[in-house]
Amino acid sequence: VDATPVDSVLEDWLVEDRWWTGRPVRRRYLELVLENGRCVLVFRELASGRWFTQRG
Amino acid sequence: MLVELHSHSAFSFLDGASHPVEMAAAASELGYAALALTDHDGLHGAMEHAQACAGVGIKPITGAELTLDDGHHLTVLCETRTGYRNLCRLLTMAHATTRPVPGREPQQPYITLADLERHADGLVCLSGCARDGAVAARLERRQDAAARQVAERLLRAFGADSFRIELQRPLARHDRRRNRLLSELAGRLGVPCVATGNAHVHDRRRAPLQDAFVAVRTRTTLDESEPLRRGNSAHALMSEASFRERFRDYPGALQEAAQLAERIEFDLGHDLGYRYPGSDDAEADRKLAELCTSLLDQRYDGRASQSVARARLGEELAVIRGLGLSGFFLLHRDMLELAREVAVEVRGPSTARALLPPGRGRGSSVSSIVCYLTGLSHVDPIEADLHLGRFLNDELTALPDIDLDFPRDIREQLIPRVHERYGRERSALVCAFATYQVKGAIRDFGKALGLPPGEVERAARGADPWFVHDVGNELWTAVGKRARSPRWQWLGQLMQEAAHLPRHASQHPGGMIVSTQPLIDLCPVQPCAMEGRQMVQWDKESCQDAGFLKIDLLGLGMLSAVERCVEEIARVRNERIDLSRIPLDDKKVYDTIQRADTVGVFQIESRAQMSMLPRTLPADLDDLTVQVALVRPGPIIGGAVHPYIERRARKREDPSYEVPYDHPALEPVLRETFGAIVFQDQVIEVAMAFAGFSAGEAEGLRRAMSKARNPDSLKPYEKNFIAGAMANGASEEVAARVFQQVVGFSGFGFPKAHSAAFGLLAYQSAWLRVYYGPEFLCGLLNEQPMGFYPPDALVHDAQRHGIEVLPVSVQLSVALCRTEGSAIRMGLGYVNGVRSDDVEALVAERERGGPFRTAADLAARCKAQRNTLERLAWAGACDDLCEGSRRRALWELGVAVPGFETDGGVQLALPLDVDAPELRQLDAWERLVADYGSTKVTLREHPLELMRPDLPETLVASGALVKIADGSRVQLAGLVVARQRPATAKGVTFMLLEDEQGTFNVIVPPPIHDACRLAVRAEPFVVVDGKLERRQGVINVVARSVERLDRPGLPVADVRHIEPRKAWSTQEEGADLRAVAPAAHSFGRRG
Repeated sequence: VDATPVDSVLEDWLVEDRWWTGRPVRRRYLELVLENGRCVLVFRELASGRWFTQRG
Repeated sequence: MLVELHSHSAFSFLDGASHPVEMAAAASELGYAALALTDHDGLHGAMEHAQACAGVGIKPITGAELTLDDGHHLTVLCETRTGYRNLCRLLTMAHATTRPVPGREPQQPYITLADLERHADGLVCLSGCARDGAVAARLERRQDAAARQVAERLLRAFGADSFRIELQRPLARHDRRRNRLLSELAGRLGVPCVATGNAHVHDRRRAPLQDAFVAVRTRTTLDESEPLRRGNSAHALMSEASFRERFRDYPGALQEAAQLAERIEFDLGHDLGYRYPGSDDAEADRKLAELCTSLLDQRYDGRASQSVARARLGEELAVIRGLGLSGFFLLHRDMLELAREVAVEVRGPSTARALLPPGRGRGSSVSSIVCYLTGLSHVDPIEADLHLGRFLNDELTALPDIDLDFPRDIREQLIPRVHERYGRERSALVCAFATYQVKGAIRDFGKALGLPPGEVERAARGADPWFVHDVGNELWTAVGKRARSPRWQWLGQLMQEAAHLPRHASQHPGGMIVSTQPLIDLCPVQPCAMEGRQMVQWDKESCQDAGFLKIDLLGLGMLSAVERCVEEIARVRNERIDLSRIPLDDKKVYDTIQRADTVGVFQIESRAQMSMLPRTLPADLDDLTVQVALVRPGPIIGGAVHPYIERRARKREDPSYEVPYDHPALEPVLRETFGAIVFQDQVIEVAMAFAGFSAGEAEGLRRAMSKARNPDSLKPYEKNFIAGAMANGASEEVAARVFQQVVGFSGFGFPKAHSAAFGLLAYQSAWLRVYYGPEFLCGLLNEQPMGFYPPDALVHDAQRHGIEVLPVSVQLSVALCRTEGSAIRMGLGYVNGVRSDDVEALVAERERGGPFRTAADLAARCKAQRNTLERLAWAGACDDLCEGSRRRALWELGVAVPGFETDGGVQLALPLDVDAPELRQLDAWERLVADYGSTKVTLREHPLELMRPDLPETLVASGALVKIADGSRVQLAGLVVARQRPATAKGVTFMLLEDEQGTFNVIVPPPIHDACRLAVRAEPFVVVDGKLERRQGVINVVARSVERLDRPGLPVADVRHIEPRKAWSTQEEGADLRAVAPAAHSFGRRG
């Protein structure tokens, strides 16, 4: 993540929501511990295949 | 080995969105070796699950997810028969307190951990689901000590062999942490883990429906229910690869699940050990034979048919002995004797009704002389020429059905008495599962999707109540192009997926199970919505699969109406009518039947029947027996109706006319119906006489036709049928044609015995209507809802027959309608929203203290609530006290009410000596609106009579139709009395309309229906433009258009808003005559 290697996966989960709207959400989330000790939350938009980092 | 030990079906009721049959089929596709169904707090779908799994070669495991008193869940599986018995008892206990207030929504069933500990034997306990499990949920909340405490308690109760820690991987946020903690706990306890999927749907594509169910169940929207929903589609049945992927850190848990599944030996599909009372009585054969022989000597003494009857009894008793069913008949006889006792109590010993039997048989059992002699049927099978084969034969493999009809009041008392007689723990009603209907589905899912309530309601009101296939068009009609938006599109899809899935459990109308052993050891029992009643958690199909004997104690509205009529005749005319002794060949009665003057008559009053009667011209009971059976899907689809009508007419005109038969062997079995297959028994008889089938094979064919919609299931029968017919000398072509006629029948028809029973009641009701018209109408009005016509149409028909119907009156009416001389006085109970105890108190006070002198006197003496008095005044019931002015009655009652309850106590009104202001009388329109708003019946001007002066002259009244030539274009307006869209009619809708001169039929072809669907389905008043068709004295209007009847500018009555404001022509929702007009009856079949 941002060029920092992943040390381990803490949790992973799937969100499929808002299918009844014109903008359905399908995301695969990963809660990661990076080698620098930082914890980050990333997700992949399953429709586009793109990865994002969740902030805040 | 792939197994699933935790799954839910739609029998978890709004938490599970697939049918057990879908679950089993999907599991089979995925290669499962075993599938456990663990619905919430019930075994409602367990038998369907067992049967479905057996059908696809999967091991069914019976279980449930139990809710504890603290809201946590535990999964239990039945390892042995003892375990199953314990689960049934636990579930019965869980439901015992769910109905503290009868009639209200049931509360959440639950058990305590202590209950479970006492019933642990034979059960395997899993520690519960990820979200709410008794152990997992505590760990999730970081209550580690409490989680451990519960787990230790369960371990002590179930032992190390039968308690497992349950790991789930719903792909939710804290899965890994939770499973790590659960696994550590298992290690500390020395208990293995098992992996389960907690499937709620059979396929991921069904997941949206599961989400929508959660929103419906929690009465919220999808947008607002995010924390309550499962959050993704991972709750579908998993493939082996998915299982391995999700549980790759716990391979032992998968292995343990497979071992556990293998170890479980209980199979619900095997004999549960049910026995009905009397089944083990070694003396039953002798008792039944002695009883029947002595009754035969009484019934047939001196009659020519005595020897035939004796021979028939001998044959029947031999079949019954051979099948071991003597106890079965004695049990039914016992039930009828109980009904006789109840009938005496309900009717009173010296009433006119006391002459009538307590109930009567229906269905194929009416063909049995044993049933006739023991009182289980009222039709002499020798005289009516009824054959036994369909009901009883040597090859019978399941218990035959004996259905009994009772007047509603007797049946209401009989059901609790059966509980008393056989013991509450040994008797219960059968359950029925309400499925999603179109209108309800639109409302529920529309709300869940957050659609505008007004539009949802419009879509629901305009929707075809029976067909779900055409939802897209329905929604388009209701909301136009917005139907293309994702939410409306989803509404259509969710409705289609939910159709046929169970929504909740309710009681069967009268199917009862009685047992020699406690029922709660065989199936969980739960309280019904009605106080004092209880039901097993299985519907009639599951009960049949379990080998339970179901006795149908049905309520039949017409029997009640007939009894009321007989009672009223005795009261008014002092005549005691014994319907078993009335002449059965009364010409006047048959004349009215042949004229189709049959409004209110049992079975032959519908639009379809009325259009047929002038063509078939029934002239005796045998004809009526055929007539009753003719308008059924079987004869209609089988193409029997037109050949029967045509050949009957030709035979009537030319007695030497030879009816054509496809083969000589068919003549003896189809002679009475002129070569057409009208009765269910004729399917059997044709198969036997024409194709050489045995009785059992023929019954198998009938069942295959009635149950299996899959044409492949009939293939083996077709081959044997054609081969047998050809061996009998028929050509292959004829054999194939006759088979097609048989298959066309498809089982949806009456057995002759049933038709004979119903035909007799049709005649008896027609006889009462001809000779005791006012009393008969009274009976019908007091037993609503029943039959084809709403009360308003029944009253108008009676008025056209010269019967005077008088309005409700606080001075003269009682609660029910009753006859006054040759007229009928409407009952106070007909006024909407009036409390029955207020009415009873009012009548009692009038009888005690004499007629009311003024409105003030009424208000002071009867102590009814202000609301009741206002509603009575609005209905015109106080007109006698206020010079016929409803407005004045409202005024006077308003100032006269002595006191009414407020939050602070009873507020006493000061005696106001105020003269009523000059109040204008209601005009005819205002009175009509008030009548419909209060009683749904108008006794004076018909709405069309009031509208007529303002309608275009091109609109004719129904009375003119007889003079208009066939094929002419006509335009008519009318109030819709009934709508029908039978599945057999290929999309054609039939409407029965009424104007001030009578009723008329409108046939709406599918394209016209589609173009005018809102008017056809929802409008109470319509204008029809169409072509007049006249066939053998029957007139129909084939519609070219159906429009809402509109006429702007009518004055709006300005009266107090007790009922909605009125004016029949405004567009405003709920503010016109449409809002209060009597609702048409809609009939059809779900497509």
